[in-house]
Amino acid sequence: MIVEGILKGAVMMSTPLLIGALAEVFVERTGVMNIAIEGIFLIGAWAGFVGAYLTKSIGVGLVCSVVAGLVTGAIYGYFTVYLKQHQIVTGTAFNILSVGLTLYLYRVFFGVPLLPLTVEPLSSINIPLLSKIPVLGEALFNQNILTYLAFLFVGVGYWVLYHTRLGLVIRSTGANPEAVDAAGINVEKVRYWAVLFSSAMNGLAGAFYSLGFLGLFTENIIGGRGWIAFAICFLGNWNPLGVLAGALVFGLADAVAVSIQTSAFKAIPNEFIIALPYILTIVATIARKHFNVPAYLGTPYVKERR
Amino acid sequence: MLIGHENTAVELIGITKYFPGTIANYKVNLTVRKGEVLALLGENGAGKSTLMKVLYGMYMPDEGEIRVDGKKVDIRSPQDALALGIGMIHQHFTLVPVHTVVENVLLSAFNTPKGKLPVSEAAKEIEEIGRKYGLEVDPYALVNQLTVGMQQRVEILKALYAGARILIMDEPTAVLTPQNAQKLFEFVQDFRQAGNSVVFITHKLNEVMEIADRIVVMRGGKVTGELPREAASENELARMMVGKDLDEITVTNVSEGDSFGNIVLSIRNLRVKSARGHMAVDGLSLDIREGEIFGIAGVSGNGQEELAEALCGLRKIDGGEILLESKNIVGKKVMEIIKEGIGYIPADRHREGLVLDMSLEENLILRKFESESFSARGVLIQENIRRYAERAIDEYAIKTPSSKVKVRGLSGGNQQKVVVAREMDIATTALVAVQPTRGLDLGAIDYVHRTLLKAKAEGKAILLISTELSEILALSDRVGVIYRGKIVKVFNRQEAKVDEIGLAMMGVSNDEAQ
Ligand SMILES: Nc1ncnc2c1ncn2[C@@H]1O[C@H](COP(=O)(O)OP(=O)(O)O)[C@@H](O)[C@H]1O
Ligand SMILES: [Mg+2]
Repeated sequence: MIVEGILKGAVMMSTPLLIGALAEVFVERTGVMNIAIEGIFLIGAWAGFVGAYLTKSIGVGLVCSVVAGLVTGAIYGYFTVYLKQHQIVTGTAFNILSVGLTLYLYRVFFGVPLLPLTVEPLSSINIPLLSKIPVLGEALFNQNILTYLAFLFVGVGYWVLYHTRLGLVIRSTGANPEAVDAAGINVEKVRYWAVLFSSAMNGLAGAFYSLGFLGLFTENIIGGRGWIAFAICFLGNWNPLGVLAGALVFGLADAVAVSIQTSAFKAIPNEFIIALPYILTIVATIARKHFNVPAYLGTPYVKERR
Repeated sequence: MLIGHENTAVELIGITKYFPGTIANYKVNLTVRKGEVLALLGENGAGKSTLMKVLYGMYMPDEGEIRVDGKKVDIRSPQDALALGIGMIHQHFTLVPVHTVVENVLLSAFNTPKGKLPVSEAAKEIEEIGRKYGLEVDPYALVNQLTVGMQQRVEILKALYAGARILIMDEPTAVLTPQNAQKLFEFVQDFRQAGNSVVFITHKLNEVMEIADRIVVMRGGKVTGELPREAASENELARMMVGKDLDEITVTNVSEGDSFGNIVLSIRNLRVKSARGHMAVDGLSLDIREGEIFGIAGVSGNGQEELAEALCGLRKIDGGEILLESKNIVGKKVMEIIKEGIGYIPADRHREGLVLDMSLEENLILRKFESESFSARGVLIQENIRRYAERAIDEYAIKTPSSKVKVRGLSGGNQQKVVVAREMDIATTALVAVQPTRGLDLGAIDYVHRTLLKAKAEGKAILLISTELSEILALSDRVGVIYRGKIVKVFNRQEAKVDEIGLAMMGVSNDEAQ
């Protein structure tokens, strides 16, 4: 019983991390870091909640979160890809701005309510028979639509990245943009589209926190999970399968921590469980010898420059 | 002479291209005929690469028109050029090192389908083209594990796979051994025989005489001459290239036989790892005497860089000894080695030699600001530095508005003079010079060569590392050939023959060759 609950929680909690980290893999493979990820998570959470609350439709909420992500990404991408601004500086500005902006706009819409406003969260979709598989059935086949999408995205993402022309262009752009330019492909365009795509996905990932299970929005609802997704991209060695493993580890830690918190079991402090994946990240980073880090990650490309 | 259109493959008409502060091409007209090898000859900076990048769609011309097969075309990207059958092998390879050969070929092929990559089909075709033209390469090999010569094959295969009929090759022999260059020439001939055209960019006269059907010479962004090969002589071409006779400015090393002094620098069994972790310098030994220039010839990537860096304290040494005047300097820090008097002219002045956004004076004291005359208790003594810089500007004839300007604004030749001035001053006992004339025009090359000879006359021991065999032969008293991190053969200059050196560069020992 407990194990099943923890596994289900782990898969659920890993969903937004998986979406965010996969999006980050794609954009970083083109050589751009989407440092604004934490801010876009928050903006997505906000837009998703507002859309769903005002229209009473979760579907509309999800669309709103994607659109909000796209808009933010369009601006971030314009600054970093076309104006060649420093990605870390620009992204940090976006992250700081997003905290104030979402809180402000929340109050513009709803004032300062005594109790947080809520919507009905996304419901689980139970897949008959399969969800009855012992131990894993509930975890894998009784989740909401975003979880299914996230896992689909792993497979599709892997195939696109390694087996299609688009994936080849994406990988080449981060590894040697000059080769891409010499092949007559517009480096800036590839990078801009990648930023747009990753930002839309990040918006959706953010909406998972407001609409996926809580059904409400608070200013600290993301609480650094965008950064975790960012780190998982690195931990997963810029590979969709690696990212899947990383996201599951963090999701599991989250779920175990929650179940310890609500049980009488006190032998291991809750904080330790929460800290565990971070410790693992540091260990993995130090222990790993071979990195797939895109050679031109973070470097703007200027055409006709030597 | 009028040329019928049925005979011309490409026409460039009135091409002008500006870069900030430079006119790279000015109203250039150029015709490439079907079935010919056109040599585009000119010094560094003449505008050859720019002109061809315009044709290939990498650069947009500011003025001018391009015609292919008599029809006006609008080439806005290399995809357009490839679709018209124009391919280009760049001077600096444009490969993705972490990808396989097939992936690199598919990336640039304009006709690669949008969806799934046809990897195995492409691999088969690459093998076929390779067999046809003698350019075999394993389609599944990772590019970063191929030798430079192999990487060039991949570049050629990229163009051929995309269906190029007109192949532009930008200084293709710069990275090759004489023997590999010969193979490349054979390919060029085969390719032409099949009815295709080749534009062969070079600044080497002998290559032009060897393979060209027709020669176009460029200088300062303009075409200064055009003639069929039969009508050309090396001297005349040189005059068109430089604007003056070549022998006026070529230096030769007047060495007085064996009258050198004591051994100054002695390297014994040196072992140094490369950044990638393999033993790049692997048991290398050599001696350099007072007033001697020891030239190291070799294909790039055989441990030259690592050797130079190890000598200057920039790379960890895994074994062996470096004796400077009989004192072992292995394990000493860079600052200590500078104090011992070893100067270092690095291969890449932009990356290692200079800080482009700092001033000329600051760059001049970059490696010796700790000396008493330039700083006291950590504070720079501006007055002394300025006076020192002005003296250097005078002595080395550095063309600059003042000693305060950023070196970024100087021309390549003057930037190199800044490096040379600084390192000559440091080099009281020995000087390590790596590719000291790369990318310079003939005037600046001449200056650097004279400076090296002056250092020799002053009794310094000089290690000259260069992939330009002509430079090695012009300056060295002895020539050592480096192959896989070892000196495989040493020639006295009088006995050095190009073909023997070339064989040694490929690791063929004399006995095997016979
Ligand atoms: N991308 C660029 N940006 C600015 N200046 C350039 C660029 N490419 C070439 N130049 C300048 O244009 C001139 C011609 O260069 P290039 O065509 O590379 O000569 P070549 O190939 O004959 O050695 C040189 O003065 C060079 O400094
Ligand atoms: Mg060039």
